[in-house]
Amino acid sequence: MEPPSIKVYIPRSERIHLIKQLIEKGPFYIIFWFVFDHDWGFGRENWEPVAVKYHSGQPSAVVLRPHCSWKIIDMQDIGSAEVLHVLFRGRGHAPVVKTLDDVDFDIEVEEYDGPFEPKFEEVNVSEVPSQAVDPRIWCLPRTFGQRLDIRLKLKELYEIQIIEGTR
Amino acid sequence: MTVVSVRIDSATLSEIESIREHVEELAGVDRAEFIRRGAAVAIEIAKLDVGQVEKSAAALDKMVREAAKVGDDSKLLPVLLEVYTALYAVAALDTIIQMVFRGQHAGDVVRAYRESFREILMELSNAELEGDTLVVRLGGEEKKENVRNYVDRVLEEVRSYVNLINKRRSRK
Repeated sequence: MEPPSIKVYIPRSERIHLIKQLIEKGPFYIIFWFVFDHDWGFGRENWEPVAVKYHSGQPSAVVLRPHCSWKIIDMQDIGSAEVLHVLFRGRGHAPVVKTLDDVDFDIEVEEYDGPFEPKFEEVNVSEVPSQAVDPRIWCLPRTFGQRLDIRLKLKELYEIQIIEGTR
Repeated sequence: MTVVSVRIDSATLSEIESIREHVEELAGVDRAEFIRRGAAVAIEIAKLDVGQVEKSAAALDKMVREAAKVGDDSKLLPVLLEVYTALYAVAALDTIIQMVFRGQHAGDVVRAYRESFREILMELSNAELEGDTLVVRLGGEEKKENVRNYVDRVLEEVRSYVNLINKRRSRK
């Protein structure tokens, strides 16, 4: 699985708060972790995943978790599987990936820092904090009962893909 | 004059209903008031999408100016709550409109604004002033910020959103 190149855009005021960029390689996915030193001004780290799901060795979708909800984008809606343009909006660093139908992306990043290509450091599955993998505790009460575990979500999508055999 | 016909399906209706519930929960706005505001906003947003954004942007600008004009911090917070309640509804409906008119991912940036406005509403609903410090207590966590810095920051969010919708219009 060849990871795509990632081009990142961040509001100038938040740029200094991006402290780590990590890459986690799983059996059928890659997760790019963007780690910020705060989350909405609260003094805890904010781990934002940008995950790429693979099928038969090819990237098939991007999976994001902005504001404690799921966003799944088929690779065909992005246009190129080789380069992903990602912006992180506001103090909550909500990730948005540029798609073919999104006219707002280019406008929004005009006043951002970027694009820059982060250097990712490889991280083991066990080194990622459990609350980064599943941030339910930070998302209550509005997501009560929802599953927010990024690896479980990727597994579920992968299994659906296998059953459907289409994507 | 361009006439726009907007069809609202049941999925959209249920999204609007969930927005109403969020707004009601966050800001104590009653149903009739929300429907009145929501209808006005929906009309403005529909116009926005056919290139008549000026009125919406002007209305938002006016609210920002009015909020900034109020010198007394204790009076400012309820004004901000009012501004952000309306903004949340605007961004929520804008998200739907972008998806309906442009495609399933076209509302992603606006959705991020919507959620940012929602977080600010949540903060404002859980904030207390201690002198010139705004103390927000949420989910067992606490953060403090100088109230003027906070106000500058949240007003910058409004300007940023107005800037986005203005530029979107000018690039059609």
